[in-house]
Amino acid sequence: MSVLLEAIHVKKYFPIYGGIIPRVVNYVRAVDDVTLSIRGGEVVALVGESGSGKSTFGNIVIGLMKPDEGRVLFEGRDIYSLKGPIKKEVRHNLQIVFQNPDSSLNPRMQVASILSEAIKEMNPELSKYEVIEEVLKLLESVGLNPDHAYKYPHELSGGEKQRVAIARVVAMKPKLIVADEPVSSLDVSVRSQILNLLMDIQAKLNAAILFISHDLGVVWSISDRVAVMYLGRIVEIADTEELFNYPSHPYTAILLNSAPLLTNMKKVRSEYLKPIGEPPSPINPPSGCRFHTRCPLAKEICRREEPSFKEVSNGHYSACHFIDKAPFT
Amino acid sequence: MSEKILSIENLKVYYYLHQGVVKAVDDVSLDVFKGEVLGIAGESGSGKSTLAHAILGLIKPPGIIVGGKIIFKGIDLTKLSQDEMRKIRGSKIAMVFQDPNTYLNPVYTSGFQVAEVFEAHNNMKIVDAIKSKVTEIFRLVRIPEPSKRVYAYPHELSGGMRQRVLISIGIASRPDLLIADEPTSSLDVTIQAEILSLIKEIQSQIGMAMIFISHDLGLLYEVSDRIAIMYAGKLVEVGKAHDVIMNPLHPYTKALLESVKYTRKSKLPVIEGAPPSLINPPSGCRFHPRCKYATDKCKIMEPKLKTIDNRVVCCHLYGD
Amino acid sequence: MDERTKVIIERLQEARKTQMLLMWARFKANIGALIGLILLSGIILMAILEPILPLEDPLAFNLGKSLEPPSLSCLFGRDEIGRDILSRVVNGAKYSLGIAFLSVVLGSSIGLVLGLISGYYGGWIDNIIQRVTDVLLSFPTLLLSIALVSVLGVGLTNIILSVGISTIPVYIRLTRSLVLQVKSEEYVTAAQVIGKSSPYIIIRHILPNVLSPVIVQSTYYMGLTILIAAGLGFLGLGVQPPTPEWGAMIGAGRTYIFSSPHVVTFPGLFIFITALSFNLIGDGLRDALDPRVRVLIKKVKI
Repeated sequence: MSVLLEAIHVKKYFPIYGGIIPRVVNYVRAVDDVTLSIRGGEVVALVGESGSGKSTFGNIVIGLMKPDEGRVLFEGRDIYSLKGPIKKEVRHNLQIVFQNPDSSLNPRMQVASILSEAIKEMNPELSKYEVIEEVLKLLESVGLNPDHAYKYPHELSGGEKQRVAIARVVAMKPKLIVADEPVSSLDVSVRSQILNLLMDIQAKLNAAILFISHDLGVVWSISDRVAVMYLGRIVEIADTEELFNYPSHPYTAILLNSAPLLTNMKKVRSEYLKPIGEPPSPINPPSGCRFHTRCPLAKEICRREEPSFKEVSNGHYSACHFIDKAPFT
Repeated sequence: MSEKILSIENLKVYYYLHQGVVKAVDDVSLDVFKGEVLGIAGESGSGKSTLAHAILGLIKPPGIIVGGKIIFKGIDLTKLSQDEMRKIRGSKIAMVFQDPNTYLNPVYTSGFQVAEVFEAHNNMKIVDAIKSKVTEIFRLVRIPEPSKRVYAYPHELSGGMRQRVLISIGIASRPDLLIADEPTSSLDVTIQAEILSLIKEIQSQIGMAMIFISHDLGLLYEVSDRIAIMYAGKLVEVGKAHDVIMNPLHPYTKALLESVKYTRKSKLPVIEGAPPSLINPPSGCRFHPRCKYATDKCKIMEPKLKTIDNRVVCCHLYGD
Repeated sequence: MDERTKVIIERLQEARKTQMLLMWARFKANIGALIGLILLSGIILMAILEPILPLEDPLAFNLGKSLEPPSLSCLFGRDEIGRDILSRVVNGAKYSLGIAFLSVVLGSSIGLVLGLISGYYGGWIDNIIQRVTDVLLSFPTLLLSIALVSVLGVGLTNIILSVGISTIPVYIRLTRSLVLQVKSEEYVTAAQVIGKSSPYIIIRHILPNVLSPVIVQSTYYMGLTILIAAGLGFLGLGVQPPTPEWGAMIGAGRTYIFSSPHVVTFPGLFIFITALSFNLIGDGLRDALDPRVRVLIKKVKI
C-alpha cells in the first residue's frame, strides 16, 4: 500500500519561561527530529515511556499541534498549510481516540447528540430522523444497543464510553486513526473487548492506525510495525516480530525485559540488561547518544557522537553505534 | 507452616450511599503469614482497596465495617478505638500507596515526611530523626546521595525517587505488615522493574509480611508468594503464585489470564460484559453473567469457599 | 421512519426531562434553597399584586401623622412626612427586584461573551481584555458603581447601567477561568478534530459547561446588587425621592434611626430578606446544577 502519512524531521519544543521579566530560558524538547511514514491500512505502534514525546507526536500527526520544524504530509499535502475544502477533507480523515473516556465525551450531551455531531459534519443534508437512524446503526457497529442513545456519559461504564468515542471516530470514516493509550484507563477484563473492536473497525475502514502505548503485550498483538521512542527521538523501528525477537537497540531490549509479561513471547533474558539511574529530562538531553547515561553497554563514542539510523535488516533501523542483528539473546 | 500475622475473618464493609448500599467487601476471609508476600488481584470494584483501608482502620462513613474480624497479632483491629489504631498504623502496619504526587506533601521536604514517622511513634525529634534514621533508610531504598536528598522537596525529585520516599515512609518503623496498593502503577515500565526488585529485596531483608495489591497479574506473579483474586467484593481464589497463574481454577482467573495472553495478530480472548454494580450485584455467584461455565445453580446459589490441596477456590465447578 | 427510531427519539426527550427533574430534586434537598425560593416568590408576588392590593398611596404625605409608630391600623408605621411605610415597602419591591434582575442580566451577558472570547481565543485579544479587567477589578464593586453613577448621572436606568457594568469584570474573570478549564477537556479537542468551527465549539461545548457557575454567581450577584442599589440609594445617588426605593428610604430616614427605628427597620428587613433569599437560592442552584452531587441517605440501623 502506498504511503498515507509522512512526518518529516518533525520538531516540537515547548518554551520554558523564567526570570522576573518573563522570557524564554529553555525548551522542553518534546519531539526532536522524528521522521516516520505510515502506509494506508497498516498499524504502527509508537512505544515509549513518559518524556519520550509519543503523545506530542501523536498530536502533531493528527493536525492539532503545528511542529516548530518539519512537515506532516497527508497524501502528499502538508496538513498545516491547507486552505479551503481540501482542508476539511483532510481534517475528516485524521481522527483520534483518546486515553480517558471520561473527558472525551461532553458530560452534558446525550450519546445520540455526541454522535449526531459527527454524522452531521459528514452529511449535513440529513434530516433529524435520518441522523438518529445513522446513530443507531453506528451504535450497533460498536457493540452498543439502541438504548445507549439517550444515555448521558456518566450513566455509562468506562468500556461503553470508549465504544462511543470509537463510534464517533467511525462516523468520520477516517483514513488514519491515532489511538493514544485507548485502553490504559479501562479495567483489565474490558481491555481486550475494546482492542478487538478497534481492530474490527480498522479492518472495516481499512484505516491506518498510529497506536501509542506503553503496553508491550498489546503492541505485540495488534501492530504491524513498532517504533520505539526515547527522549523525543525514534531509537528503533522494525516490523513487530522482528523487533520483539531481534531487538537491536539496548533501550528496546531493556523495555522488553522490564515489562512483566505473561505471554508466550520470547522474553529477552539478559541479566546485565538493566537501565542505570533515572531518565534524564527532555529539557537538557544528554550529549551524543541520548541513551548513553543509562545504557549498560555505553562506550566513549556514545558520549561524543550521536548515532545515526543504521539499517539492521530489511525495514529494521536502529540508532545505535553498535548495531548487530541480535546482540541480546 | 509459619505463623499467621493477619487473619481476616468474614469481613464485610458496606458503603451507605444515596443510590443504595454498596457491598464493597462482602464476607471475605484471608490469612497473611509472617514474612510472606500476598498478592491481591482485582479490577475496579473488586474491593481490594477497601480491604486495604479496612485493615488500616481507614474506613469512614458512609463506609462501615458491618461484620467480621481483622485479627492482627491476636488483637481484633475492628474493635479498636481511633487512638489505639493510630498507634498501630504507620508503625506495626504500614502502607505504600499508588500516587506519590498526592501522598507526598509538596511543602515539606522528603526527609521531614519520613521523619514524621519517628516523631509519631518513637518520640524522636524531627531534626534528629532526619540526620540519623532517615538518611539510613534512604540509603536502604537506594536513593543516591541520601544525606543531601533528605532535604529535597518532592517536586525536586523524579517519579521513581518519590516512590522510594513513599516506600521509606512505609518501612521506616520496620513494620510487621506492609500494605502496598498499586505502588508501581504510576511509574514508567523501566522504573517499575527497579522499584519492584527494590521492594522484594527490602521485604526479605526486613522480614516483614506484605500485601501487594495490583490489577496486573504479571506483576503479582513476579513479586508474590501467594496470590488472592477478588471479584465484586468477594474472594474467588487463593493459592501459591505459581499455581494460581499457571494452573488457575476459578473461571474468572482463567478468563483474566486468557485475556492478557496476547497472541500475534489474532482476536484477543474476551470476557463479555463488565464488572458488576456493587449495589445490585448479580444473584448467586457474582461472576455468573460473564462466566463460560455458568449453570442454573450458579445463578441462584452463592458458592462457598472450598479448600483443595492448599488452594482455596469459590466456585460450584469444584463441588459443593 | 422506523418504529424503533421513533421510540428512541421519544426516549431521548424523556431522558432530557428526567435530567431536569433530577436537578429539581437536588435543589429541593437543600432546605435553605427551598426557604429562599419561598421567600423570593413571596416578594415577587407582592410586587406583582401591588396594584390590586388595598394600600394607601405611597406618595401621599400627611405631616400631621409624621413618624407614627407601627399599629394595627398602620402596620409598618409612617415616615417623617407621614407616608405609609407598608405601602412604600410593597411599592418599592419592583424597583429593587428590577434593578437586581436587569443589572445582572446586563452584566452577565456582556461579561460572559467577553470571557468566552478572551478564554477561547487567547492571544492579544485575551491580553487586552484581561488588562482592562485587571484595572476594573481593583475597584470594589460599590466604588465602581459610584464612579459610574457620577459619570452617567442618577435615576433608575442609570442605576441599572452602573450596577450592571460594575459586575462585568468579575464575570469576565470567572468565565475565562472556566473556559480555560473546559478548553483543556478532551471533548473540546474531539470537536476540533471532527472539524467544527470555533464559534460552534464555543456555543455548543464550552458555553453549556461554563453556564452553571455563571448562573450561581448571578444569583449571588442579584443579592449583592440589591445591596449596592440600596447603598447608592442611601447615599442619595440612586433612585431619587419620592420614589419608594428601599435604600433611599433608609437613607432618608437615617436621622430617625434611634428615635423612630421603624422608618429604617422595615425597608432594611426587606432588603435583607431579598438578598438572603437570592443567596440561599444560589446555594441550591450550585448543588442542583452539578450532576455529581450525591445526597446521602439517612443513617441505616444495622
